[in-house]
Amino acid sequence: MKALFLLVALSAALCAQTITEGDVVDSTTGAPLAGAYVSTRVGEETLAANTDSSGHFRLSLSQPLVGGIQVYRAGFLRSSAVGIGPMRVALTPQAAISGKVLDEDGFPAENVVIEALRFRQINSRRQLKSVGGNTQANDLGEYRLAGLPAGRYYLHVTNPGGRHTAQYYPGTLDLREASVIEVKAGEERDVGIQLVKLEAARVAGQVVLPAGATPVHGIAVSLQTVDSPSGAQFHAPMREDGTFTISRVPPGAYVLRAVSGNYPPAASDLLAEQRVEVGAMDVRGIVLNAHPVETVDLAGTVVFEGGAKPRPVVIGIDSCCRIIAARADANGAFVLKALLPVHYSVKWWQPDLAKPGSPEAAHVVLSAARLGDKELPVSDAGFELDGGSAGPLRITFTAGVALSGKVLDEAGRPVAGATVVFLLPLSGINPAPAGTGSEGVFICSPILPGDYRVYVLPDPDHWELTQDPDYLKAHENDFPPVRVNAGANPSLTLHVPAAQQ
Amino acid sequence: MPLALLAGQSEAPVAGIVEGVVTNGVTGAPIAGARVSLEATEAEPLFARTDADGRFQFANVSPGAYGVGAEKPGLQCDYASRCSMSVTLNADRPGATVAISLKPYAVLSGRVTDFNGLPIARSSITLVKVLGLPDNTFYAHVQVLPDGRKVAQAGGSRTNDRGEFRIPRIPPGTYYLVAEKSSESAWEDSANHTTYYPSAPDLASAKPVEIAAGQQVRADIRVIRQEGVRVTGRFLNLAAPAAAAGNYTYTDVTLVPQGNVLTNPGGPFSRSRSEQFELQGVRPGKYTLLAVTREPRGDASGGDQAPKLAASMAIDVPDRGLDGVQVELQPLRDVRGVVSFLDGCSPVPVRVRARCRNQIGPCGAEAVSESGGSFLLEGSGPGRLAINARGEATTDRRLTLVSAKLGDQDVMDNGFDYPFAGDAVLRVVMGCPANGSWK
Repeated sequence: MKALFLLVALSAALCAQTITEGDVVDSTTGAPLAGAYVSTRVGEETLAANTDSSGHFRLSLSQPLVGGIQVYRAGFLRSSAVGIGPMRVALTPQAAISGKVLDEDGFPAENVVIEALRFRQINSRRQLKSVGGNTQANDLGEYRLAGLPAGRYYLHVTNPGGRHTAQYYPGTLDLREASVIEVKAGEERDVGIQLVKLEAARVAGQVVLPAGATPVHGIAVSLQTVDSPSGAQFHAPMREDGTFTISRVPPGAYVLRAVSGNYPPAASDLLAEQRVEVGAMDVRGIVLNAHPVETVDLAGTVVFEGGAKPRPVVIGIDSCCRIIAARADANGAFVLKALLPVHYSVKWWQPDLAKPGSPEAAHVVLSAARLGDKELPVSDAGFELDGGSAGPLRITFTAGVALSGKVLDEAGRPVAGATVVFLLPLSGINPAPAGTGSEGVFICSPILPGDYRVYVLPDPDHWELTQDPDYLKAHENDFPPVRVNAGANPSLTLHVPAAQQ
Repeated sequence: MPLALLAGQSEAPVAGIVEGVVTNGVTGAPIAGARVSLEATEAEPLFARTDADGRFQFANVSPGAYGVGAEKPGLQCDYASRCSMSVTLNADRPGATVAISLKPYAVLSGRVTDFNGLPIARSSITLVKVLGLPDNTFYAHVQVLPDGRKVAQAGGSRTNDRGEFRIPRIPPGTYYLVAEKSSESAWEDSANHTTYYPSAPDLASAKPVEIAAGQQVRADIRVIRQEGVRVTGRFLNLAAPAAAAGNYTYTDVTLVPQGNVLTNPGGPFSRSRSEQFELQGVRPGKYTLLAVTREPRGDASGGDQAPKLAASMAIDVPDRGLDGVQVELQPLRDVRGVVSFLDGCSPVPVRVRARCRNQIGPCGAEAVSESGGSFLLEGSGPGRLAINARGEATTDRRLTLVSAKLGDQDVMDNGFDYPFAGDAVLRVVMGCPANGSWK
């Protein structure tokens, strides 16, 4: 009797299971990939399987697959897939750049840091950004940058604490003279790097302290790059007479800073900051007048426009290590307390989103921010703010517009597999929203009304293309621009040329 | 003919010379082609290369203080402190001769693979040294194994995308080698577990690696894969208002293997916003469970949480997993302590440091003893606290920790789990050197 009950219970459990299976192959050769790790999350649980020798995997799930699967195998770029029925996941082989870094004497340049940089289109600006992290040369000078998507890269070498100026391959301070290394999917490129002794500028000056001030732990002088791909920072001790010299500074824009404690400073620390543009020549005679840091309370208002219903919003600001947050009250008013005169990133979130029963809460978009009389550039994620101002800060949210549609092939059939549709505003710096979906159907995250260019990414794993200026330029006319109106919008139908599928 | 380089400071009143020889510290043979540096404060260093006889010379050197160092690929100086020799030139002593010896260094390299033989990228590799003869190295986190041997972490590395690692300049000795997921990146396959060389689940069953001076040693690790089991339970004493605050109060829980010798053992982790918790992928075995409840500071707007309650308890996870674990959270009370001194040592202020080994979030505290010797360790998060102490004043730095007890428990070597039940006092005893010997 007990055995029968167990059998019934077991069959019921088996019936409740769904099987997701498929094959993982090399996208360049079509060859099956054994040992790939396939995982998915069901509720709180991660379910995983490895592909067998024929590249096949089988996941036994207690409920239907919702979020798709993630696939990883050593030597390939990570990938994901959604869909119903048997799946075929094609992994793209990673590219790698490796070699030896030697100094001018042919000695291994141990501990130098090498990064692969690539241009990105971020907030309408073309910026050079690091891809895939950095790596440090070992005691033989060997380095290896792996996990790279196919693309065009610059190599940047920094020598923290060493005697070489940070430089681009092959031994230049000037990006225009740097070599582009183009790698294809799966390519292993050997690039030997010869460090060059480069004359770079010195930044020198003097820190002037308020009368009678004698900071216990002295004053630290640093030079932090603005908009640098590597975020490099240079340090120098302040001499007893207050003078300092920072050597081997490559050209660029910097914030020169003297602070008596750690950064960000605390109230009563001494601080001086100044922007410095460095070219080929030394920058001398800078006077940094350090003064005690004063904190300021910044009052503000949250405003809802364009039909957006007022809802609870938390405004939070972050300067590297400390978050200050305030919740807007019923009138939209908030106060960010005890701000230091430093640079902040401002973010926002909706505390009720995590609670059930707030389905429409996400449908507001940050559309504007104004500090006093000054308009601040915003993206939906937030904006940048220099502390020290009394404000007021006015933050505007607008009702976001939901946009959905279909991606069809030339014959009018839905495009199989995952779809990524990507919209880039024709003006403004709002980030480009993207929508994902399966079997040709997509839903974009809420966006502001306006005119947008439309892109369909060739591969759901190539998100980096949404920031690749070359790709964006080359494909800007693939689809006619769309006008997104406030309120309801018709569903988009996008026909993808055969070559792009 | 020695190679020479002009210092270029022709206005110097005395034209000094710094010269010398670089030899192999093992064979005594001269080293040709070594790069010798002459460094002065706030000036670009000067360089010379050694000739076939290992000799070098810097001519026309201005008076002043210099550091002289030598390097050659694959070689290192005898001791770090002698890598740069100090010389001072003045009118009485316009020249200096230095002898520098370099030795081949030991290298440990290897590859980390999974059960399929595929490389595991971004693995953290840790060397655990069995401490024997003094080797002029300061080791934080010394631990005593059940067999009485002392071990400490002694460097490490990280694997590249091919699973390869390379650790140069390893002092001779006996080591254990561990592959674990690195702090910033989880291994893709969550069933992979921290593995000791060559493929062992813990240090007790691991194979030591002997490294001799100058030796190139290879050690590959095959990571253990074992489907983990589930551990579930509930927190006791979670204050009702805290639980109701919902989004902003949470409790983190993790498991640290008992006998763990690693600083950051990346065990299973879970964050819970209720009284229930669930840990997945746990390898059966003996653990210390650590939990900490954090509440928002000030207004309940999130983002800035402070630890309020915590627990540290032993659990034994069987092969089938474990359900219904009751975790008694308790307030993070400050640890009261008192410093005393061996006979003959003058009582002075002592800085007591509690450094964290196994932890979940920020952990550790320090305090300076007051007159009478009492001190209070405040504000630590939960974990295993190891005690260290020294004289606070620069002149009292030679005072040394002789014993540490929490209640009746000897916590000198391996510290104690915090928080703990009851109100035991931490008793720290300091000794002082007298006439060259230690009391």
